[in-house]
Amino acid sequence: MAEGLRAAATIARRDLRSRLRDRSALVTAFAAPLVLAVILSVALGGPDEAFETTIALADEDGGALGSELRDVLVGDELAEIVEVVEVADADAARRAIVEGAALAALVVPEGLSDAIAAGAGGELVVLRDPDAGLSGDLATAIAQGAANEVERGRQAVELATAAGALPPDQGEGVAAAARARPAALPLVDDDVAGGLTGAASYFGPAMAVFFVFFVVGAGPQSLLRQRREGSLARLAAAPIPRGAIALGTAASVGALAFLSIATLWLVMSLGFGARWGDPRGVLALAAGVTVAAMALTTLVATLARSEEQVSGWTSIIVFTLALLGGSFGALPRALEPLSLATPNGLALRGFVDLAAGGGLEVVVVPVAGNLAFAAVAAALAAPRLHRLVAP
Amino acid sequence: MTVPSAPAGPPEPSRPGGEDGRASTSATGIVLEAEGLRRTFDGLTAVDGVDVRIASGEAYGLLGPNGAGKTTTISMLCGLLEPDGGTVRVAGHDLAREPAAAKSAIGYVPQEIALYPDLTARENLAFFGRLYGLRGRALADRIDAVLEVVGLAHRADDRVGTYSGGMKRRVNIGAGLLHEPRLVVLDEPTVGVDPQSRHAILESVAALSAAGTAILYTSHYMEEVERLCERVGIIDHGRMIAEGTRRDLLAELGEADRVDLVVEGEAERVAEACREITGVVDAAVADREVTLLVRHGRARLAEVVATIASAGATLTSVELVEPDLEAVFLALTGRALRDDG
Repeated sequence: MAEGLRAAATIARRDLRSRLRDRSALVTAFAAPLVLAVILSVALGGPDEAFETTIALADEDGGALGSELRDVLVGDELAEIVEVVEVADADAARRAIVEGAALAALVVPEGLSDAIAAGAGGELVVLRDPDAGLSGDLATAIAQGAANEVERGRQAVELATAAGALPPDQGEGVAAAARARPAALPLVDDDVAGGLTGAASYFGPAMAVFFVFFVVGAGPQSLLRQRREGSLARLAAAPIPRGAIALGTAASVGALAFLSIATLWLVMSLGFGARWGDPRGVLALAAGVTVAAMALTTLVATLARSEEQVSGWTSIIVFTLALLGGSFGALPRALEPLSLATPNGLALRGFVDLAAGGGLEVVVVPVAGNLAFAAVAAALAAPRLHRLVAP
Repeated sequence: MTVPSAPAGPPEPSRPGGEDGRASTSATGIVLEAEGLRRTFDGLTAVDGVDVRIASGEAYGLLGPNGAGKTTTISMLCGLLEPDGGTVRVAGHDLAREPAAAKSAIGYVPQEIALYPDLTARENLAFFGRLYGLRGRALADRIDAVLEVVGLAHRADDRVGTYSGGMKRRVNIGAGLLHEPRLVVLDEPTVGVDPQSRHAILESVAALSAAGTAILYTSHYMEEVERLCERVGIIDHGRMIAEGTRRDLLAELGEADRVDLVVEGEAERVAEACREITGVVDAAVADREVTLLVRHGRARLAEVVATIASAGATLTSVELVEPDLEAVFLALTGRALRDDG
C-alpha cells in the first residue's frame, strides 16, 4: 500500500513536471481561462451607453405592497427603461445581480403587508450593485415611493379620523392602528456585487469550471499517448501496482486543476474585484467539480477507440456542458433545471451563491450533486478502466 | 529441424546463482524460466505453449516474423500481459504470485522510445529508477554510471526531445539497466539507429552479458542475433518451432545455401517459378528481393537465372550466401525475417 502510494506520488511529480513544461497545457490551465474570464467580464459587465436597466422583484410577501411595486415597475413611466425580472426570493434576487441578470432588486419580505397593517413595522429591502449606481438609485427611489405611499396612507387615515369622515365605530380603531404604524417604512440597502465586479465574480468561476474539464481531461489522454509511445509499457513492467499509474496521473491533473482555479481566484479577485465568498466553500466546490470532471473525462476515454476520438468527444461534451451549465452566461430561468443537471451548472450555482454572500450551506447541494455525478460516471467507466492503464 | 517439446537446456551458468537464498531456479543459475505460456485474443491463439529458459550470463535471441507471437510472449515474460496458461519465474520468483519481486529482476527495454521528451535524460532515469525503489545517493550514482555506459554523460541535462534517434535509443536502454536487473529484455533495441549508435548498443549488450546478466534479445537484424546470442529460439504461429545454438540450427539445414536475388519484374512470379526447380527448399519475397533456400546452391545458379528470364523478369543482382540463421528462418517459416517489417 505504502509502496503503491509512493509510486503514485513519483508518477504524479513526473506528470506534473511534464505538464508545467508543456506550453499548450499552460495555456489551457492558466492563460485561456484568464483571458476569456477578463474578456467576458469586461464585455458583459461594463456600463451601457443608453440607460436601460433590469430590476428584479422578489415578492416573498404576496400582499398589496408587492402589487404596488410591480405596478410602478411595469407602469408607463418606467416601461421604456426598466425590465422587470420576477424572482422567488431574496437569494434568487442576489443571484440575479451576481449573474448579471439584474442590476438591482427589490425584496418584499414575507409577512410585510400583514406587519404594516398590524402596525408592527417591517423593512423593504433594496439590493443594489454598487458599480451600477443609477440602477440602484432607481430601485431605491421606487422603494422609497412605495414607502411614502405607506406613510401617506397612515396620514390619510389620521386626517380622515380627525375630520369625522369615518364612522365613529370604525374611526377609533383605524385611527389607533394608523397611529401605531411607523412614521415611514424603512428601507434596507444591501450591496451585491454586480456590473464589472459581478461579471468578474461570475465569469471567473465560470471559466475556471469550464477549463477544469480540459485540464483533467488531459490525464486520460496522456495515458493513451503513453501507451502509443511505449512508456506505459515500461511503467507496467515496473514493480508497482497498475492502480498507482492511474492514481498518480489523476493526482497530477487534479493538482493542476486546483492551481488553475486558484490562479483565476487570485487574479480575478485582485485585478477585477471579483467576490468568491468563503474560501472553504470555494475549495469544496473546486474539489467537487474536479472530481466530476475526472470521472466524466475518464469515462469518455474508456469508451473511445483512439486518442483523436477521445479529444473530439471530450471537446464536444465539455462545450455542451459549459453552454448548458451557464459558463458563457446564465441560462433563462426556464432552463435552470437543465443547467443544474450539469457539473458546471451545479458548481456555478454554488459559486454565485457564495459570491452573493451565502454561507457554507449553499455549497452542500452543488458539491453533493457533483460527487453524485462523479459516482455515476465512475461506475460506468469502471468495467473498462483497466484499458486505460493496459500497455 | 528442431521442434522442441521442452526448452533446450541452457549452457552452464557463467556466474553462480542462488545468492541471498533465492528460490531453486535462481540457485541453479536459471534467471528466466517460462513454461507452457499460452494466450488467446478473442478466440485466436497468439501464443501456444511456449517454453523459454535463460541462464545468468546467457544471451538468448528470440526470432519470429510479425504476428508470430513474439511480442505477446515478451509481454507475458515481463508481466505486461497475463497469460491464459503457463508459468513465468524470474530470479526464482513466480511472476503471478510475487509480481513485484519478479519484476524487480527484469530490465525491460521496449521497442518504442519509452521516455518523456520534455524531461532531461537525467530526469528520465531518475524517474524510472525511483519506480524500482532507488533513492538518494544510490540513485544518483546509478544514473551517473548508466549515463557513462550509454555515452551520454555530457548531454545528461538536455531534454531528451532534443536528442538524435540514436541517442534516444541509448537512453532508452539505459533506463532498463538502472536497477541492475538480472534479466534484461531488449525488444528491437536498434531499430532506426545510425551505425555508430548501433555498434555502441551491441557493445553494451555484449558487456552486460559478459558481466553475468541474462539477456533476452529480439531483432529483425539477423546479424545482431548471430553476433550476440549463444542460443536462438524461432517462434511462428504462436509456437516455438526451433531452438538451439547457432550451430545446432544450421545443422538442420543440411547442404542448403541461401541465394539472394534482386529482380526487375514480378518478384512473386519469379519465386513461384523458382519453387519448381529441383533442390529449391523454399522461396520468399520482400519487395524486389527474392530469397531462395537451395540445396547445393552453386550448382543450381544457372537454372535459377534461366528461370527468372522465363518468368519475364530481369535479374539485377544475385548473391550466394553461406548458410546462416536467415536461411534457417526461411526454411522454418517460409518467410524472410524482414517480411512484413
